[in-house]
Order: sequence, then C-alpha cells, then structure tokens
Amino acid sequence: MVIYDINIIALILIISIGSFLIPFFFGRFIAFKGVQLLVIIFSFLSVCLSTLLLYISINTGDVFFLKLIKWMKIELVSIHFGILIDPLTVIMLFVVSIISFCANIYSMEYLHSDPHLVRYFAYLALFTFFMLLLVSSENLIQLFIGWEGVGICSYILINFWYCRMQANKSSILAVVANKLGDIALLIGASIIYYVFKSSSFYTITNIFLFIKETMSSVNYSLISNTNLIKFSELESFLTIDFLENYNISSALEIAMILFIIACIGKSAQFGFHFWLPEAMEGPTPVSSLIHAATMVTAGIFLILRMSNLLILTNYSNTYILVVGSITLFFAATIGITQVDIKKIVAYSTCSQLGYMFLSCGFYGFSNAFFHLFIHAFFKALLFLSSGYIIHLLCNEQDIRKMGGILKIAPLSYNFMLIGSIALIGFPFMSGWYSKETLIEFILTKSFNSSNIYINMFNNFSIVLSFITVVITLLYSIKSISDVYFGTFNGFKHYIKNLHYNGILINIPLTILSILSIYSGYIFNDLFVGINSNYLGLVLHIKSDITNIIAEYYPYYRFFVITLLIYFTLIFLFIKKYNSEFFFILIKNNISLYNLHYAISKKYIYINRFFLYNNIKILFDISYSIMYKTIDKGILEIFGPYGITYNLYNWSIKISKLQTGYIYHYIGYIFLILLLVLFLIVYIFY
Amino acid sequence: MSLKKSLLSISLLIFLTTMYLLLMYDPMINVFQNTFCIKYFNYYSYFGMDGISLFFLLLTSFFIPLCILFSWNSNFIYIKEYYICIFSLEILLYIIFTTLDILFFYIFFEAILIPFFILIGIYGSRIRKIHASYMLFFYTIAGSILMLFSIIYIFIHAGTLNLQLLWNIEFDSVITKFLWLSFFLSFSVKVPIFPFHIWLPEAHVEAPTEASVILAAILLKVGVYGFLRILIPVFPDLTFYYLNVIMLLNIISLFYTSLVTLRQIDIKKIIAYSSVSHMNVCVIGIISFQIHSISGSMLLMFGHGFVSGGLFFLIGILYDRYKTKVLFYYSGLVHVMPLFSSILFFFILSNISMPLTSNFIGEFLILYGVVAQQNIITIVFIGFSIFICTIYSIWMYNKIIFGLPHYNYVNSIKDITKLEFMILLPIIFGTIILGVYPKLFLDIFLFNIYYYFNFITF
Repeated sequence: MVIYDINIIALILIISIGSFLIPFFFGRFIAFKGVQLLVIIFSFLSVCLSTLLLYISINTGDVFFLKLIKWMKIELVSIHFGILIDPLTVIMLFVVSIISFCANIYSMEYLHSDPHLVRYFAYLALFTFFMLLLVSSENLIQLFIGWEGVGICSYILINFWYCRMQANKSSILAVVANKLGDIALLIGASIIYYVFKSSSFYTITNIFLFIKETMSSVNYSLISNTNLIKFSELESFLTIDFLENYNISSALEIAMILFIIACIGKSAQFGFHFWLPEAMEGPTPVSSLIHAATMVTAGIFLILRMSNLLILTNYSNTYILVVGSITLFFAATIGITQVDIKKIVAYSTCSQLGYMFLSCGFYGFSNAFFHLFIHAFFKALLFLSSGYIIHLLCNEQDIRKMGGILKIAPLSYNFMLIGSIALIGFPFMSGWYSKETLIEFILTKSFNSSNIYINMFNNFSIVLSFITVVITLLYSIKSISDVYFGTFNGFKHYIKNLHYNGILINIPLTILSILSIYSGYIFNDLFVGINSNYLGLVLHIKSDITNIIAEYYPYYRFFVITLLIYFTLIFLFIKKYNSEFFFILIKNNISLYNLHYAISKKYIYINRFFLYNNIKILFDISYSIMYKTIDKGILEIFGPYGITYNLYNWSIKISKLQTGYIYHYIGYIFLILLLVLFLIVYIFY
Repeated sequence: MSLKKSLLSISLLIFLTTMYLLLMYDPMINVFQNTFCIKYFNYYSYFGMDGISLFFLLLTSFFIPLCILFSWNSNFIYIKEYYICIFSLEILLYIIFTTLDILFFYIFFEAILIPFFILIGIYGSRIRKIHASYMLFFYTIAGSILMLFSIIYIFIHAGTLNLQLLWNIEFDSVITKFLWLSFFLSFSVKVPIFPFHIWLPEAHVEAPTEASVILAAILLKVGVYGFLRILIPVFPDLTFYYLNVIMLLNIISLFYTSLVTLRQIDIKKIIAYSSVSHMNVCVIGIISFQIHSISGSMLLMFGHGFVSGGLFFLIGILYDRYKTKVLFYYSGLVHVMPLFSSILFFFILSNISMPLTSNFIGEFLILYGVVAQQNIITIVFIGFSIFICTIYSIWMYNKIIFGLPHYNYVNSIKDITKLEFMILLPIIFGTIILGVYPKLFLDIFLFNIYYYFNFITF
C-alpha cells in the first residue's frame, strides 16, 4: 500500500506541474483547443487519483512520510524534499483537486473570449501545484514553498486583468498582507528548527511529547501510537543538558504565536482581513478556487498540522479563540450592508473561517476540519453561481441593480439557493452537519475550564458565534431575495443583452451543488462521528462523552431561542420580504440602524485607521525623514557636498590675505615672528 | 566585430579555466590550494585560493562574458578602451580574490577604482556622472587611506604581511583597536554600511549597464570578502568585542535603506538601495558567528550577485529601448514586451526571496543563525527589511509592467532579442540551481568556513 500511495501522490504533483509547464512554455504550439483538452484530462485525472487515494486512506488509515532529495545540509540543518501522507493530506488533496477541476471547467466558458486564456490556465495549474505541495509537504520549510507560492500565484491571478487599476491595487495589497504572514512563518520555523533540530512535523511532535513525558510524567497518549521516530534517535541529542538549558515551552509558545500570525494573514482573519474582499477584483473562478476553498484555508491547515504542538502550549489557543470570534462576528456584520455580490460572499468566507479558527481555539480540530471540508464546496458553489449572475447581466456586480432574476434564470436560483442554505446551516444540508456539530462542541467547552479569565474569553466567543449564526442567515437570505425576488432594478441594456451560460458552466455548478447537499451526510461519521479514529491519527480529538453530557447544560435553552429567531427570520424573508414587521423594526430604531449602516459600509473604519494611516506614516517617514533629511541632508553636508563647498569658501577667504602690498606682508612676518618668540619663551622658560 | 569575438573567446576561456579550477578543487582540504609565490626584490608574496575565493572567482568570470555580450551590437566612441577597462577590472578582481598578502590586497583594492572611475566618468549617460565618479573615488579613498597606515604598522610590528602568518600574531591591545577600526572603515565603505553608502546609488545610476552589473554582482562583495578574509581571521577577538557596534550599524542600514527605497523613482536607484540592504543582511549573517548563517550569507552573496546582475541587465535593456530610468514614464509594458515582463517577474520574485530561488536559502540560513543567537531586535529588523523589500519590488514591477501603456512615450515596440535572452538565460539557470540544489555550492566552501571559524564554540 505504501508504494502505491506514494506513486499516486507523486503522479498528482507531476500532473499539476505538467499542466503548468506545458501551457506556459508550449502553449502557442498546442493552441487554446489543445490547452483546453489538456486541462480537462489532467484535472480529471487528478480528481480520480485523489479520490482513489482517499478511498485507500479511509480503508487502511496509513500515516507515513518519505524523504526524497536533500535540499540543504549544514551541520544539523538538514532539510529534505519529502512527501507526507496522512488523513489531513489526503482529504485536502481531494478538496483541492475537485475545486480546481470545477474552476478549470468553469473558466473555459467564463473567460472564453479572453486572448490570454492559455496563460490563465497555466497560472491556475501553478497555483494548484503549490497548494498540493503545501498540503503534502513533510516538513515546515517545504510547506513554506507552497505557502509563499500560493501567495504569489494569488497575486498574478487577481491581477490577471492587469489593465484595471483596481485589480493592480488589490493584488499588491494581497501579496503584501500575505508576505507579513510569510515572514512570521519563516521566523517561527527557524525557532522550531533551532529548538528541535528538525522541521519534520512528526519528529517535532514526538520529541515534544517525549520531553513532556520525561519532564512532568503527564501522560499525553495522543499520537505516541504512531511511533514514527525511534526513541534511540531522540536520545542522541536529548540529553539532560538540553532539557535544562532551553526553556522549550516558552520557545514553543513564541513559535506558535508566530504561526498563528501567519495563519491570520493567510486566512484573512481580523487585522489582516482587508485583502480578501479587495481580492474579489480577480476573475470569479479564481475567487472560488483561491479565496474560498483552498488558499485561505491554508491557515487553518497549518493550525491543524501543528495541532499536536498547540495543545501542549498553555495560552496560544486563547489568541486563536479571540481572533476567530471577533472575525466571525464583525465580518458577518459588514457582510449585511455590502452591495457587491462577490464582496458579500467574501465577507461570508471571512466569517466562516472565523468559525474554524474559533473551533481550533477550543481544540475542536476535527470539527474545524470538517467545516473546512464542507465550506470549500458550498462556498465555491456560491462564488461560481454569483459568477453565473455576473455573466448573465453584462458583468454587473451590484445587487441593487438586480432583482427578479428568478424568472430569467431559474437554474441559477437553484444553485444559489443550495449554496446559501448550506451556508446558513439549514437542517440536513451539508452545512448543517458541520456547523451544528461545531457549535455543539463550542457549547460543551464553556464549562470545562476552571480558570476565570479563560471562562470569560470562552463565553465571549460563544455569544458572538451564536449571534453570528443569525447574521449569516440575514446576509445570505438578503442577497438571495435582493437578486432573485421583487422587480428588476437594472438597466434595460442588461435585459436586452442577457448572456445565458452553457453546459461548461452548469456542469461544475451541478457537481458542487450535489457535493454541498450530500457531502455532510456522507462524511459526517468519518470526521466527527463518535469513536471515529480516522482523524485521531493526526489531530487531537477529545473523548466524546462531554458532547452527550452537554445536552443537559442550561445554555441549551439559549440555543433554543436562537433556533427560534433563526427559523422566524427564514420564514419572514422567504414568505414576506417586504413585511410590515421589518419596516416597524427599522423605523423604531432608525438612528441605530443608520449608525450601523454607516459604520459597516466603511468596513468599520478599519481600513481607514489601520491601513491608510499606517501607509501614510510609513511613506511620510521614508520620504521626509529618511530620504530628504538624512540621505540628501545630513550625509551630504558632512559628506562630499559639504566638504567641497567649505573648501571653496575657505580658499576664497584665505586668498583675500594676499593683498599685494609690501607693508601687509611685513606685518604678517612680524606677527608670525612674535608668535614664534612667544612660543619659544613659553616652552623653554 | 573581430575585436569583440576575440574578447568574448578570451573571457570564455577564463571562465572555462575557472570551471577547471572548480573541478580540480578538493573541498576536503581546508587550507589554501594551488599556491605559488612571487619574489619581488626581497619581498615574497603568496597567491592561492580556497573555497571562498573560488566562489568569487566563479562569479567574476561568469559575468564578464555576459557583459561583453551585452554591448555586442552597440558601437560607441572609445569602445576599445571600454573593453580594456572591463578586462582590467577582471584581472584586478582575480588578484584580489587570490592574493594572500595584505599589501597586494590593498593595492588592488584601490586599483579597482581607476577602471571604474573611467567607466562611470566617460561611458555614463548624464552630466551628473562626473559627480558620481568623484563621489565613488572620494569615499573609497577616504575609507582605505587608514588601511594603508595600519598595514604599514602591521609590517613594522610583525615583519610580514602574509595573511596566514598574521592569523597567529597578536598586537598591542590599544593599537589593535585602531587597526581593527581602520580595516572596518575601509571595508564598510565597500559593503556599504550606513553612513558611507551614498556613493553607491549615485554610481549605479550614472554607470553604464555593464559597469552597474559588475558593481552590484562582484564589487560589493569585495567588502564582505574583506570581512571574511582579513577582519575576522586576523582580529577575531576584537570583531567579537565590537559585534554589537557592527550589528547596530547594520540594523540601521537595513531599516534606513528599506525605507528610502520605498520613495525612489529611479529604477536603478531602487535596485541599488535594495542591494545595499541585502549586503547588510550578509554582514549580519557573518557576524552572527554561526556556521549556518555564515554559509547562508555566502549563498546570499552569490544569489544576490545573480539576481541583481540580472535585474541590472533588464534595466539596461529597458534603457536601451526607451532612454529613461524614471519609473513614471513606464506603464503597461506587458502589452508590448511579454517575454521581458516574465523574466523581470522571475527576478523580482528572486529579489523578494521566494523559495526555490537563490536568495531564499541564504536568508533562511541567516535567519536561523540569528535565531540561534537569540537576537530578537535583529530578527525583527531582518523581517522588516524583507517585508519592505516585497513592497517596493512588487510596486516597481506593477508600475513598469501592468496598467495601460503610455502610447505617447512608446515609439518603437521591441521585445527582448535573442541575444539578450541568451544573456539572461544562464543567470536564470544559476538562480534556479542555487535555489533548488544549494548543496552543490555549499560543499565548496563549508570546510573553509569550519577552518576559519574554529574559534566558535558550539
């Protein structure tokens, strides 16, 4: 089985790099038709292979890694290119290849008359390659290749239509925001390497477990059953000296915080979130592939990868918790007032990633991973179906200019509805399975901690996540009803030039809608089922007893009220969109409503305060102080300019002494003689 | 044309000879190899090479044929003298990198200025070239005049100027500080470290493309080579003693040059300031006194040689076509020069140290060394410089390549020619090889670094 799996994963990597290299270098020889055929065949092959891999992995539960080529070696720094296969990798491979396949097929029609389509497919394939490299890498440094590679690919893909100034601006923003996270990851990886002398995930984890067990005799029997590293190897450098001299826990804490910063940057959480909605300037299939399903989930993926280290640190989970809960609330709040159909979905992505972060903060890694898995499908579906509408209405993205499209394009309504109700967690849709278990898990955690501060944080995030369930519902149903119901508010020009989409757009949408209906039901037991040990090999899973006890907690009454509001809102929106109830509600609280509207229209002023002011300060300092005052000021005055200027002036002054009159010269001679005499007298007597 | 052909074949011959040296080089022997002696009256001067010098010799001989190829089709006045300057630069650099004598090192360290002065002063493009060549001369002379005095003192004190002998000689504790300072000043002008750097952007902007390439790819490394060869082995204790001072100066340079680069509008100046910040990262790597970071800075030097050389070639290509280096005149070049923009993107990625290109390995290893030293402030500033480097590189690329073209400025449309592509191809190849399989280059000099830095206790 081992050789089998390695072959499959190597084949997938080769296919994805091949589908970059062939169009990029030989695209002009095989033309657009050839590239199209190549992309279809290669990405379909990749889907088949990854499905096969998933099948094998579910049956056998293999976890193993392979070191291939040595990358660099200096003393203890020895880094290999390697492949790691475990459930995490396999499932991510499945997600990435399916979404990539759908996006590829979709863009064949969506960008059908673009002259640079060959280049576009090459970029898409390059992105897929880097993403696959990221998920299948065996050590942190190799993961960094994929990590930075997807950032760069996101730059070139957002900026694919490079004539648009807005696309240029947002792509620079994306690459810069990602780079901050990259630097944090690089420093964190060096710290990890310095402490553990290895960057291989399993080695790090096992070393740390070993140290913990020997130091404090606490029994962490998490993944010691995998036994991937021989203990004799460990003992070679884990002397008592090592244990005493290095404060490993604090180093690990710092490294984990750096990793969390990296994940915040990549997953567009609070503080770094501004690049994600701006990145919607790119083509819609790119948004669905990069900014919904794969690249933004790389942050969550890293946290899951390091989950065995995360549970061994003391406080770093609190940062994840707070960041996640703030993000999920505030991104959803902004999402209500957005009018760009893609930006609504982008903020919704931000908010859902916040849910995953929150769950990771509570150590609910399997729940977070399940939500990641499901979210990839329905969010890609939402993006692609909004692309459907954009294509239909002459590239109009403003939902205020839509309305009543249900009569024009009923098929797209199906897709949009499936995606939306999966997003809001409507019962028995796939989103329900993931979200319900996630929230149930969060509920159980609030009582487990004895520390009062941690309890405070826990309750804070639980309340926010509850409220956000309702807000999610608000914005998604609002966008559906704005687009599909009521009357058409756009221009007549749009109706005259309706562009109906063909089979190539409908196929991926159908695949994704089937997946977002059924995948929750199919994969529920595999991910979060009671006593399912599939993910237990790589993730930390708490025992399931608390989940059952949790049903008796008084918080569940609050949960019932939320459910009540939830279903009432669904009813109100779908049945009576322009009901009296809403008008009265808004009329009575008009000032509050206006305040919220004004603030959230401006992205809660975060872009203004953090981004623009910081950039302005940075640019002002660099010009007025650094360049003008120092480079062209002080250094020039004390450097060449000052010296030449002063020498010139002094020489003019000295030359004025030479007047040409004899008595002046005699005077100078006497003066100097006097001076010499004085000196002689002073020195010798 | 026959002149150029013969010159090219000579430079290729030198390159092949250097490759032969590389083949014959035994990396397991950590002392100098292929040594020979020149007797000059009563004075014995030794020449030889080890892994570190071989590294720089490779870099030198790699770039000279490309520089000759770059001016293949251009025909300007005094072209013969131009090639004399370039070849004399090569000879002088070869002597600098192989000599084991401080006096010879000093003499040829200074003598580099003469061809460079001529290259900038005569073959430059604007009137300001006089000022630039004057500044280059002034700064380097002012820095290294002190070095001459200390070399004379060393000769009086020790009776020899051979490097290997000097490694074992101790000096008076007060005088040695002055000696150290004089050597440090002269090398830090060449690197360049913060207060002495302003000659570099001027020289880069005014120099012709080939001179800029040699300046960025090889000449800047002479300063760091001096650090490695003379400053640290001869004065190891004092370098360790003054470590924080050097580190502080380097951090200031990093912070300062990163910020200054953000607001430059001259493309060459951007790359020039960027190379200042990269070279300072190299110096930080060397004075971290970790084997990893020292070899990292060697790799970063090599990688930076490739990357900045390639970038200056590309800017030269732009200048040949449009006769300006001001950023605001360029826009939307991807419409007319797609091949050029792909290659520029590759080099920009290498400049921001994308993994699998040359600069990443160096920067990672240096970062590792600094982390091992647990020097938090330096870590923060290196991270800051990488971040700002991303901003200005991507911004510059975006400004030149994307957007709508300025049709009123673009008179002729010409993508890069086959010759220019052939110049850039080996540099791209080298960058990728260095990034994917750095072990090839690490093996050359690792033993030498062990030998030099054997005073480090792990």
